[in-house]
Amino acid sequence: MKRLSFFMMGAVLALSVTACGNTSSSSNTGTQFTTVYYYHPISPGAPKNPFNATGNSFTSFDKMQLAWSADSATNLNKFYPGLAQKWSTNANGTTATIELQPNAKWSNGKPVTANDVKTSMAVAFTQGTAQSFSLGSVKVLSQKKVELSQLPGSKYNLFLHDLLQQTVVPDFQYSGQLPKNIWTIIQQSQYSGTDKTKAALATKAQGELTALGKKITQFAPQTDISAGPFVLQRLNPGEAYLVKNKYFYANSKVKVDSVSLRNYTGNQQIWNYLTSGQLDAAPFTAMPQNVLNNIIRVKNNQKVVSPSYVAASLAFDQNFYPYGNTNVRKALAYVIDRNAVQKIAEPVVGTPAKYTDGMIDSVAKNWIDPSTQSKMDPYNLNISKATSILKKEGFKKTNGKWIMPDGKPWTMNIYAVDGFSDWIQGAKVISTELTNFGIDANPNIVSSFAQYQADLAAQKYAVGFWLDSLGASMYTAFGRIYGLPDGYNVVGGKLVHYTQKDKTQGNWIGLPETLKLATGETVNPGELTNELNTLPVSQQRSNVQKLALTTNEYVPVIELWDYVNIQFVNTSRFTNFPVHDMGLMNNQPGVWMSLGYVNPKSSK
Amino acid sequence: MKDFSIRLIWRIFSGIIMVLVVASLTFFLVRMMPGNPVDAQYNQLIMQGMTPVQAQNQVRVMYGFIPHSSLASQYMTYIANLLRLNLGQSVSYEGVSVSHIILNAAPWTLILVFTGLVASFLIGVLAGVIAAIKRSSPMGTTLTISGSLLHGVPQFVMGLLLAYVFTTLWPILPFGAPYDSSIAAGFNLPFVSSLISHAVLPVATYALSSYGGWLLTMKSSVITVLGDDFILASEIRGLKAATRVRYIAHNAILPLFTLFTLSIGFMFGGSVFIENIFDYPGLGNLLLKSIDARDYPLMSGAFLLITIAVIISNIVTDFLYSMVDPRIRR
Repeated sequence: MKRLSFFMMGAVLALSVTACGNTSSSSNTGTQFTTVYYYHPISPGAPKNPFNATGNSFTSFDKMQLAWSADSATNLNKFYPGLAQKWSTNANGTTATIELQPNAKWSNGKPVTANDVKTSMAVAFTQGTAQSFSLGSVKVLSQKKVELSQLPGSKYNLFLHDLLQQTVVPDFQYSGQLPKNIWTIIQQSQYSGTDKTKAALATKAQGELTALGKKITQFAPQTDISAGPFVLQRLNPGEAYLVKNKYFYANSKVKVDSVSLRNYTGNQQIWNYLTSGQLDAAPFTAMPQNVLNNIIRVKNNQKVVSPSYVAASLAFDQNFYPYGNTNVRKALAYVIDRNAVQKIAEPVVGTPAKYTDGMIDSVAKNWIDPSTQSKMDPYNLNISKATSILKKEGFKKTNGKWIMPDGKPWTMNIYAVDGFSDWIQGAKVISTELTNFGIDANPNIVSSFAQYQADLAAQKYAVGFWLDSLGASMYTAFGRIYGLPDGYNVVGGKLVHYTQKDKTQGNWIGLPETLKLATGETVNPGELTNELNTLPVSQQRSNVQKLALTTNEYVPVIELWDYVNIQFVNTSRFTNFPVHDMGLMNNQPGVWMSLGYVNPKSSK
Repeated sequence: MKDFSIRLIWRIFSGIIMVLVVASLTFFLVRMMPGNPVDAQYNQLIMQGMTPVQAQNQVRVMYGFIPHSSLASQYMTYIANLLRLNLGQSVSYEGVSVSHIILNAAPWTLILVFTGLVASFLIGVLAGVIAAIKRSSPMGTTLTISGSLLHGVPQFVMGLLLAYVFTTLWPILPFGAPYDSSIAAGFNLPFVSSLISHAVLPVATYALSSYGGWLLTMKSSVITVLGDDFILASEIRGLKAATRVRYIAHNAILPLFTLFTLSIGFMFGGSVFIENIFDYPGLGNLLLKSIDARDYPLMSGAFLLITIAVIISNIVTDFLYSMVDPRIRR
């Protein structure tokens, strides 16, 4: 027994020594940059293919786009160069000319050419992405110059914006996956006229593209061929290791030798990495105040605040009594103290919403005219106003509790999702506020977001949390309310509205199709939103004003707080982070490095 | 020998039937869950800034990986494929075979749980014998208290505690990957030490949270054996203490042997909490991800592996038990 104990003690000791000796092996060898890869899990076995949802290809490091969006709310076409050095469009924005970086090469030394762009666009058709920005044709003008046009008759206003964000893959690797007549198939698939033969051919071609999409997604190249600043060397299920690509067109600007990308499975992991000082940069993650304090306490950790295009709101299914009554929703907006809710629910990365208008406040200030603003109700906390509205609508208060006009006591379940700590806290605070007001409210937690979405679409929740104002584009932002959630969908290029009677089409908001504004104008919010998809940005203002007023007047949701994008950088090992360029900061670190940012401290 | 062969064949046959029954149940159960992979992916794309039309077009590719025939026909295909040992393709890891994903995750769970299980079993059994024999001494009391305390601490609490102490408060141990990816995998010292250092925290969590159970069970078993006549007889006959301890341990370990072999079967279920806390890439973590993405084939595959492991360990336990305890063979 003595021998066994001795052996075990020895083993434990050896294990500890070995372990402690390698504690920071992954962080670091001076020029190894460590961050978290946020977009998808790192999965050995998944193909090194950027078109696979979980493929081992990492945006901005070894997966390159034509350009990188600056995420500007006022200029959606503001970009940082990627493989495209320059770009221009014709007057109406239907044709774009791209000039590639003259020195752009793949990691095997072969040049990046216009032909690569053409093949990448053909692949984009198989993935459904090229159709979404109305790409019609691609013309190679020279080895480094390519012209891309929208479908004849199409005027999609985000054409350049979406086009520049396309991934470019090598023709020599991917063309073998496509049939020789791929462009004929693409052209056939684009037919939308009434000729039956052509329509049948189009359907067949669309099926072929879908099948090709599946084939491309599964394609597993033997080696990682990158035109980006890095190339994948090896990976395990928790980490990918990429080394500098000596053929990268801006190789001299990249001062980092290797990059370690950590897996992301939840916020907790990022918090732990940050509090143990392991990350040189970390993407945005929601966190409570005490976690933020711990992170800031770590030597050289720095908080960087940049805009975020998303707001949290409380949404109503108007099929449920009494939420179909606009005045009831307004009364609730007066009862909820948004300042108190934000302080508890999202104190670190939130600011209370000033208006319920379908936009985050920092974006609204660029879009909403003062005259429109003056017509909006900020729904400041006003219990007496709420009381008076409800009484007018036939509600009665008995023994401190509200009784609805149908004689039943007013109770409310507020739904949030397990793991969404800010929503849960928000649901608790609002429940308390409503209960104090006389509505018996309770938070209800749903086990997963997938279930939550399915239940919302199936009209199972009267009141629940929702993310609205999503994205810098106004179409995407208002689409969170007046899109699928309110029964609007684009089918075969045409806008269709499904009422709440059809429970299979996901209309869980249930506003009437047309609404009369206080200005006397009648609007169709679904149509106004859909028009934002095609109107040039300069002509969108009128639609945006009307949609903001509609949202404010009809309160399909009560906006609670706007999120703020908080990232972290650590300056122990690297300096010169693009902390003063918010558009760049919102991109992945590979973009920073390719533009000359991020220098190892030793090489300063 | 003939009896043994017949029993073995019968057990294997009933095991296969049981696997098919469980596979059928899980096939339908996972598909009854609310939500679907397309919705899960669609919303993720919207969050990444895609317009609804872009997201719809993009999930169309994923849609190609989801079977669209009737549930009955899907079930028949699933069972037919299963009989050919084909678990199908994952939906969330588009186009990657389920068996490939599972085989990638299984070794990490094996390392974590098997090492933790063996360590906790050896230490727990040893400490249990000492705690029983020295039950009136301070040493016995201390061991028993340590077992009771650790037995009462849930795995996730232990994990969070160790993670906080050794990765945040005193950050001397790594986590978040099975080894440092900058080191080339192979039988070399840097790689092996990286592998060990990354496994220390999850293995220690498993071992510490299981140790108490083994200790208390062994202690109770030893105390029962101590009261048996043959121990009294061996004392009266003046046998050496070491021999007596061997007698005691041999008889007292029988119930633990069953638990141990069954635990080996259950270990494929991974240790969901531990793997999640330390982001260790085993089956537990995989199972959580597959549920989150509503990846039906992957969920079914993971559940099936757990089922098969438990059934095999049951069969092995049965046969090994009859070798360890001759009374069973009668």
